[in-house]
Amino acid sequence: MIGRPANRHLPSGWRKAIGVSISLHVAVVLSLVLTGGEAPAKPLQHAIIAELVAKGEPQKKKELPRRVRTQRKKPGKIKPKTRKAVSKATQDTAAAALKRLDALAAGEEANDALARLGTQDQTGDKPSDAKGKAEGSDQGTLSQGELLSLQNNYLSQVGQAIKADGNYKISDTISSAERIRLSAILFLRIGRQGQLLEARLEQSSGHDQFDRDILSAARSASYPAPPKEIAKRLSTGIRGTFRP
Amino acid sequence: MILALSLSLLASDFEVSGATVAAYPIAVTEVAAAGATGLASASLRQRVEPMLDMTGMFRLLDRASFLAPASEGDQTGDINWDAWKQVGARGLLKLRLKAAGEQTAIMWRLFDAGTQNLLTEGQTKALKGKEALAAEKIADAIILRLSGEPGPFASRIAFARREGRNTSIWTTASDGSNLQRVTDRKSLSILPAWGAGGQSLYFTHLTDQGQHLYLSGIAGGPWKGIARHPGSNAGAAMSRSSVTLKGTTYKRLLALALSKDGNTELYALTPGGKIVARLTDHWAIDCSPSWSPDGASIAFVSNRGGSPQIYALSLADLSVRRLTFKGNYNQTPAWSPRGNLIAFSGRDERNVFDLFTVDIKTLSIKRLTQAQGHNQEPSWAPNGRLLVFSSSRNGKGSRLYVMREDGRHHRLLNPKLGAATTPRWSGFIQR
Repeated sequence: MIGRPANRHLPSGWRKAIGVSISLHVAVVLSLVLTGGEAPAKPLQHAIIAELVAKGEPQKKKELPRRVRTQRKKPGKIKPKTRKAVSKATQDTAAAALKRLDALAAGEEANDALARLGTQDQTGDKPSDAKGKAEGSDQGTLSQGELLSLQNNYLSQVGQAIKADGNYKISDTISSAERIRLSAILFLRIGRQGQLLEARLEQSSGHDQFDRDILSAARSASYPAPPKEIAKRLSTGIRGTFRP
Repeated sequence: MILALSLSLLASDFEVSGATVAAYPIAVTEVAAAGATGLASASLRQRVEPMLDMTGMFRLLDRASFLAPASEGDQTGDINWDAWKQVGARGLLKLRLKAAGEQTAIMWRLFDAGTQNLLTEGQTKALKGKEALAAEKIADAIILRLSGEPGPFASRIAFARREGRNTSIWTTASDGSNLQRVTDRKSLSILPAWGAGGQSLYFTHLTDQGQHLYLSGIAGGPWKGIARHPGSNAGAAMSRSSVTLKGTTYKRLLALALSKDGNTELYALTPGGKIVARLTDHWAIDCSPSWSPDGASIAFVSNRGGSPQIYALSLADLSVRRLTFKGNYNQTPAWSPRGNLIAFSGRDERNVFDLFTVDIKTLSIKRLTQAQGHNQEPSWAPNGRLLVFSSSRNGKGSRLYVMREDGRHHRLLNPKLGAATTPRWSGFIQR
């Protein structure tokens, strides 16, 4: 009785699944071509150009990191200097960098955003050189916007740390009707090594068990260490809005 | 972009959502006691555990895994918190019984093992040997503390039970225990409906003379004739609140399907059986009434659209609104105590009856059961978190099951019940 209708039901299910699979694959390929395909290509192109310049001129160390940085800071103000090819490339990377910043603001891709910022520096210069000079001077000259994006990036990492590995659990005792309405604010202080110094409820959801659940999730999460540049800013505490 | 960033910093710095909803892991244990009290403690715990499990909100931890000694007390200082955290307990429920003459004092304490806080405690008394009756009170107290809503256990479930060639009306505690007969075994009585207060039951008695509505106390005893009109007097439903009809407010009204005019129509009657008004007037069959919690509407089944579908009748102007447009055989509506959903059974494309809900605002339909025999006759627990229904899934005729409102966590109400149909969950019953 039960088996037969289930069999009849299967083919249409499979057809749907195959249809969904094909459309997803197409979407993935398209997105790779449109965005993912382009983004890595440009820094690479740029890096090749940099190498050519480096071989011709001995002053590459100072020039190249600077170019990379100006692209990130003020993409609109870049003016063509010598070669058209270079200027187009820099504008493209600048646009890509802007996109990345937007992504940061939206809180997406935040996980590896810091890593990407790092690798971009490396594509512009040799890692050893960048460490010694470029980064050292960078710290002092981070713009307000860069600090904000660094901070925003770290905050979304905090949010992800709380959710990591199914750590953010709420009790099934809370009804689904209630869940839609719940929202609470936690106050957290995170130390320089990423250790949790304080976690308390700043604004209750009005549901005891939800409040307990989010406190428990905040207390059991392992947080990343905040970047040095913003550690002081963050030491006064941060606020997170929690929803189921 | 900067503006957006600084704006978000004003309210909060980051947001967390998309939690995993997980059953609350709870350990239930009794403080060791000697002799009869020890046995009573164990039997109380053995009733509390399945009650909590039945709600689908909890994950009951296996006693075999417990690391804390049985002698552990129920004071904050007595408890080995690490031992409880190690076995994965979020909640720790401690039961303690103490003999006091003819009675037993029963104490319960619920702790949060993470914060080591006492979440709730309470006590009650029970006659010796009747300690397990306290389980309903304890389970409801735990649920109230952890869900913020009342538990479902201060209630009973009525149903029609097949006994040989006859069918009689029975009730059970809402966890399936404590079976009680209402009508004798020689009758053919069907379609129970709770009277106000949960101390009486309406039911339809089938004889050669017709299908008449009677009222009986839940412990049985003499019946009172309520509606004995020619033809069918069936599918009674008592309103859950006062009802205003044609300018008059009634404390309670009984909705009933009568075929005295040749065609089954809905009527409103006083609890004693006096007809107050005819509610529907249509050439089609109108039956199976179910009241909205506010007493302003009645859901019912009508084939006025060509096939049996669920409709809602507004008591204010007796206007009728169709609620279901999918399927060609939808029946037995049950209006949820929260008021937003109506559960019903519908025949799907495989000719199998399954349970669905329809949202009365959006009319969106959600499936609750699938591929487990026929599932019919849903009835809501008074807190709106559980449904009892009949199912043919085990192939031995209709059995009663309980599940969560979202269709998960099915439990056979009582394996010893046998063939049973038309369950009706009472409202909250005062004890």
